[in-house]
Amino acid sequence: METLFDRLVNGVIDGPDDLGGIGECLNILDELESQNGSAKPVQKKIEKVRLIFKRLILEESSDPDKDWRMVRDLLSSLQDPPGEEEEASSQTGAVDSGGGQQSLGEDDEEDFFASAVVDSGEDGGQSEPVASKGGSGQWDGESGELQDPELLKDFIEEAKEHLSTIEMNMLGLETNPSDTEAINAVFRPFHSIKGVAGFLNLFEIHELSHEVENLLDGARAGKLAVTDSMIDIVLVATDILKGLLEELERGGSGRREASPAVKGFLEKVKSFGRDPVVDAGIPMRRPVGEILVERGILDDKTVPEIAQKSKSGGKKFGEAVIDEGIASPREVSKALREQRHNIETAQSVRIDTRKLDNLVDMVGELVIAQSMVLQNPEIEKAKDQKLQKDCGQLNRITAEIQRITMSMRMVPIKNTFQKMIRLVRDLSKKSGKETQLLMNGEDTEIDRNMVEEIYEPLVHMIRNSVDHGIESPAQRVAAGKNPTGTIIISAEQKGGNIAIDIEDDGRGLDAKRIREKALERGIITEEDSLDDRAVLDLIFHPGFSTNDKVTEVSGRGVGMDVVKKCIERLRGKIEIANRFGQGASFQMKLPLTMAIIDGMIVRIGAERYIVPTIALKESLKVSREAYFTVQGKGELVKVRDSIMPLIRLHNYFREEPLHRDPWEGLLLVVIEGQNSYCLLADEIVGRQEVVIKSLGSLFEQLPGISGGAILGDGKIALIIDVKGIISLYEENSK
Amino acid sequence: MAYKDMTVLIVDDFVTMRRIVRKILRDLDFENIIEAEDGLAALEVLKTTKVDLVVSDWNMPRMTGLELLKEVRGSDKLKDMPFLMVTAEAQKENIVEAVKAKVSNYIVKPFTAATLEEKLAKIVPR
Repeated sequence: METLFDRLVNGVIDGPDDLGGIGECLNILDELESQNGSAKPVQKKIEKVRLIFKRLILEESSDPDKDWRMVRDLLSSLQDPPGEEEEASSQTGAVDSGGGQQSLGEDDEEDFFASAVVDSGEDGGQSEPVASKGGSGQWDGESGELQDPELLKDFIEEAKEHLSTIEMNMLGLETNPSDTEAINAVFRPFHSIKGVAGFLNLFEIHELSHEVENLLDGARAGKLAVTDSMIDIVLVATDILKGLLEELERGGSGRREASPAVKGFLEKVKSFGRDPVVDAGIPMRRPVGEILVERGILDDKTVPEIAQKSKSGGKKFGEAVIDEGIASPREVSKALREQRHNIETAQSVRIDTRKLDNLVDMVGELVIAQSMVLQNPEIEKAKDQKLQKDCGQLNRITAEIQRITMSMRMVPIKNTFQKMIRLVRDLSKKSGKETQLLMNGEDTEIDRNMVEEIYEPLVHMIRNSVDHGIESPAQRVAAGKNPTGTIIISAEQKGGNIAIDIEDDGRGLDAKRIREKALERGIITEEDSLDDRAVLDLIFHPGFSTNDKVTEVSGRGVGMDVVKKCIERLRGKIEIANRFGQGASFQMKLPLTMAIIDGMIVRIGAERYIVPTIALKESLKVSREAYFTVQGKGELVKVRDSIMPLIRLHNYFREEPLHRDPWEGLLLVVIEGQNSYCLLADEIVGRQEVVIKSLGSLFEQLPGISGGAILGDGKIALIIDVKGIISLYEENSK
Repeated sequence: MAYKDMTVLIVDDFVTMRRIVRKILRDLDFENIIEAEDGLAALEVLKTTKVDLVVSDWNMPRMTGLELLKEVRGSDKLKDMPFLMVTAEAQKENIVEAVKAKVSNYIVKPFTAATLEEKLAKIVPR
């Protein structure tokens, strides 16, 4: 304690400017307080010192030197014996002043408290404009470079990208409103957008993101609850921001004042925290028993029995089930969670899926038609403010319609997962194994067309897990494992994709045996040196099967090649994670919907092409030095430390490129299997979600092209099939 | 040391913001500018590269500016590194936390080259 005081008084701080010293001092004060929690006057003084320090740190002090003197006096008075302390404070009554501070006189005393009060009120408001005035005042001199159109363009791109993650995260919050990491993930983009908008003088965007940021900050701090209406507000704000960004993109200047529509919305956001929000009434609960029956944990007959027992024992149904040893606490808690979730789900209407598909198609056309109108040169030329505003409004509405329609096609993956329960049970019984199936994230939503498409691959993989992965109970016991094997299937939405994992705790994949088999089947040769990952990937080779026995369930060679093909047809990826002896996991990554892809639009010569973003690792420009050619290997590019082949897209599409030199053009880095490749295009035009259109049966087999899409200006762009291009390249270079 | 001989590390998850800060630093004659997209990436850079000044945003995924600051101050090699935290007006109050964690100074967005220079004068000996 003594030493702490010594350190405090003997000049830890150099002056009011010394933030490092102030920090040190604040830490010592914290320590002091924790040691000396009882003495009130000391605590009060510490509080006072903190207040002044805060003022100094935030540069809100009207007279730093005076504050500095006051702190010094307060600190040295802290060292006085506690007896005198008490006396001193009782003399001055409510106002607590230390012995040393009296030397400052009455005026100072009052002044101190006056400014302390102001500090939390008007003063904060006063100092703020001063700071920002300083900013904008000097801005003009530099605005030449900050109005850099390229910077603005990049900002629009980046902001849009971040806004799309907001939507995804918001939808996640809808199912789990208390997920702070998700709130943070939504908060961050608004925060960053606001920051940049401040630099670029984009008033409306700045204001709007600022208000939403405040709202989310409240949610982050637990002051505001994340309710449906809050989620709605954030989503609407996201749409408005997108509209504003698009306006900028079309050459708008970012008004100095908010438009009436934005103003109205701002008011709504500001008042949000103040108005009490009443949530809708409580709908009917589904009985836990019913949920457990559906999951195959209970059967219909035992439900009334347990209900009886729970009544007579004065216990809840779930507790009774656990007591009877029928279900684990984990299973019951999951059922309870589902029960809660169901309360939140709204009522539904059945709709013919063809109608739904038609609607989605027509909305796609609507969006395209709208873009055609808005990008019409006549409209773009128009200077009419009202027209501009109305266009923005139209844009926002169509975006919302599109979002709603797409969400109408989404169904939880739960039904598909639940079919697997039966499958695992049947397979285990036939093969004399004991297997339990656990599920995670079964509420994740996926396009209903996708649901049907992933059913087959899922069945294949579950079959493989039970048949090849999980050992017999005797083998498991011998390996020191629980005789019952476990398979976990989980689904999670990650951006515009869904990740489905199938994990088992069986024997895992045996890299050595896979290698032997591959040699035996002539898939690889002795000379091929493959790392473990490459060896594991061999199981995706057509006609590969390590299991010697032909079993009733798996058959021979119901290979992973079929699964991989199927997933690739869905524009997805599959990866293996293996712990030999401990189990294996297969990770599928699939787009949420087949109808739309997130694409990078690039220019090659006179045409635009779309590269699916899922295939892209990065896009970059390189220096002249990074490009070189090697005899027999053709053109290569060095990106950081890796060297990769250069594929000239214009050669494949017979375009006359703007740039023949790779350092002039744009390089798209893609990964296929173990290798990276650089695709050369001319430039990036933009990033956009596009509705995929089939090219018809005539062009179905066109190598390197997977479809077409109509862009905003009504022209068609072809979607590049990256995998196809790479195999064309590999064939040509052989 | 003259600004042009110093190596600055900009840490921000927003590419556009990094470019803005880079431009402003260039105006002050800084020539060696490295970027990192969050605290973790910044630590990687600091491990391998000699850096004379860190200009870091606060709110970033994976590792925040405050967490980065604490890592830097907790490292024997880096503990004296001049560290400038970039913050927004609304989050200014949090700076007290950063001061406790020994931030060298902070700057409020949006800022100008002049304001930045003023702050740098306080923390970087020239």
